[in-house]
Amino acid sequence: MAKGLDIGTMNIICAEKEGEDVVFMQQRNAFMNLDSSDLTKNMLDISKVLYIEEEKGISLLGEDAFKFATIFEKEARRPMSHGIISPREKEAIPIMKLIVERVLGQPRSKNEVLYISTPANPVDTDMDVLYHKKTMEALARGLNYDTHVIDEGLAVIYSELSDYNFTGIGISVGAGLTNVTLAYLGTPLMSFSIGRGGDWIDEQVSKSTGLPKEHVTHRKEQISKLSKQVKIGSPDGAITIYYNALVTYIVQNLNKRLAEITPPKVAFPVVVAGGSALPEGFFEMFEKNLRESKLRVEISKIKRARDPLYTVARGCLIAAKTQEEGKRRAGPSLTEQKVEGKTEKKKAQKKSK
Amino acid sequence: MGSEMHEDSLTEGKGSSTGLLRRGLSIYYVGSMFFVAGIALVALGSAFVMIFQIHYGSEADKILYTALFLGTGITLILIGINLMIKQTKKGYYVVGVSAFISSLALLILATNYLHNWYYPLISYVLALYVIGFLMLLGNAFANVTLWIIEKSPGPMVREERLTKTYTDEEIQRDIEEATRKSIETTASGLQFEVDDMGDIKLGKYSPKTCGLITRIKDDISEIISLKQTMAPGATDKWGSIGVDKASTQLAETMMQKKVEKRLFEGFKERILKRFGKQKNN
Repeated sequence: MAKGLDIGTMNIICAEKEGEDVVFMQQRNAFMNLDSSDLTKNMLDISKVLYIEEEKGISLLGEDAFKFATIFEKEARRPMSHGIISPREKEAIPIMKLIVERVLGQPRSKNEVLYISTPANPVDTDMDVLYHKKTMEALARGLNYDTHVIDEGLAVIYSELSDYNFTGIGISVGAGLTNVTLAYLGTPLMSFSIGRGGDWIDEQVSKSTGLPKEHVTHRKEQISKLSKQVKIGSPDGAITIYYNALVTYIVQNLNKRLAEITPPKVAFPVVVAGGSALPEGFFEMFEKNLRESKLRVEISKIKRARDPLYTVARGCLIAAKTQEEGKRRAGPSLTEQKVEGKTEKKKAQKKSK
Repeated sequence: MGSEMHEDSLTEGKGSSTGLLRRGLSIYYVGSMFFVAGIALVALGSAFVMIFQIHYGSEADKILYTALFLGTGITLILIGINLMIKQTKKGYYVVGVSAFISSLALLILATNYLHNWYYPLISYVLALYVIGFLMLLGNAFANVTLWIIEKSPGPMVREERLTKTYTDEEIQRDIEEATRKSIETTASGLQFEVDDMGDIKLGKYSPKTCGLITRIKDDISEIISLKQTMAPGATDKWGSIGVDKASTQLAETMMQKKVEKRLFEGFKERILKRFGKQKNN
């Protein structure tokens, strides 16, 4: 057995295989504080809401936190911001551990392989993802998984570009960050992230329209199409404007980064995934922008991931299954970012023999 | 060649990266004298061959002197060349040993020719001389090769150092890169531990797993097209589930790359080991 885990700013999604299905377990990466009272606790217990009791009060976890925040017009707290553990919410790490535990479950076998997605270092903000990466590794390792990490963009490529021998550009437009990876035959040649994603759109729309951020997020997730014809006063117009700005920003940064490397002279397919790539019309907007930008590499195809929200988790699962396969054949690790040392690998090889 | 060597000894104050030692002027001149003496002896030996028309039936003395002049001359030429070029420490030992071996062979020839000049002594003397000759020749060749390796990148590097100017942006990028590497190296050695939950108490509803569950039947259309691309007309002999197949395909791609990398790295390691050893010497 093997699992893939996408630890995103907005959602934590676990992918695993059951028979001929891939099962995705999804939970919001959020929590919300409430005052503690017996009445509240009873109500939450009856409603089967996941919560924890602390000295300060009650904290609702996951999707329920988000729902309650929308109902009470309060702000849900997020353990992560801009793709990494929020420096303001470090106390939320145990809460995040709880959410990860609930999504991931216990390993079904000893040393079950788990691949978790982590963002690449951003190019436009002074931020380092290393601390986040190590913390996430530790969280998963604490659950007794044989944990490995993989770039989010590479996970997109593993999931969607098997037709192209895992060569191409994978873009994951998440809530906190947008991750981009260019890979050749499954090996990343360039990985970076951009400090803008769905949250940036929410912030900009919220500033422009005066609506609370949670409302904008909710509306953005409900929006079926990024249309050019919008009602006056609705946030839809602002959402479309900032989506367009985000796409332009991503493409410009991609082009800038491509100028710094010498990629192989092949035509690269581009695949777009991520929770913020869900609205209808986003892909068309992206494709148009990319085609018009005269990218520094030849583009063979631009495709939308089949299930953009689950692509990264699926890519992690593929990496984990591959690692498992490699273990059986005593083959190589997919990434150099292996958590366990060489001795652990040797032990695993001996066991498999 | 000689003048270049001369310049080297003056310009390079210390031992080089390949282990070649600094060679003083006196050694160079001694080597030159050996070389000239050797040339003279070989010329003399050759003259003997022509003047006395040396053949199998010639007088023993004539044959002996001719052989000694030629043998000593060749040895002196090789010793001279070896002394004129820069040597490693081992190189000087090799010159000494091989000069001794060759001289021994010539001495045995001089003392035993003609009365005791029978098999197997002839073979032993010839073998000794050939060994000495080859050692001198090989040592000269090896040290010249080392000198060429050492010298060839030198001027380019020096030139670059003189002409290359770095912009502030490049310097900043280098600093950032070095800092990033340093952070990564430190972090890779760290083991992060997550604290226990402490005072946190779970509510009554605390299932082992919870979240929105979505089941998606794996799409195998891309796998079919992959199969057709890789092996047109081939039949599928194994599982048809998308994730399985995509991961196996990925494992195979990575395995291929790893094997290629190992081959190259093995070659590279051998080269580095060899030069590393010489450097230590």
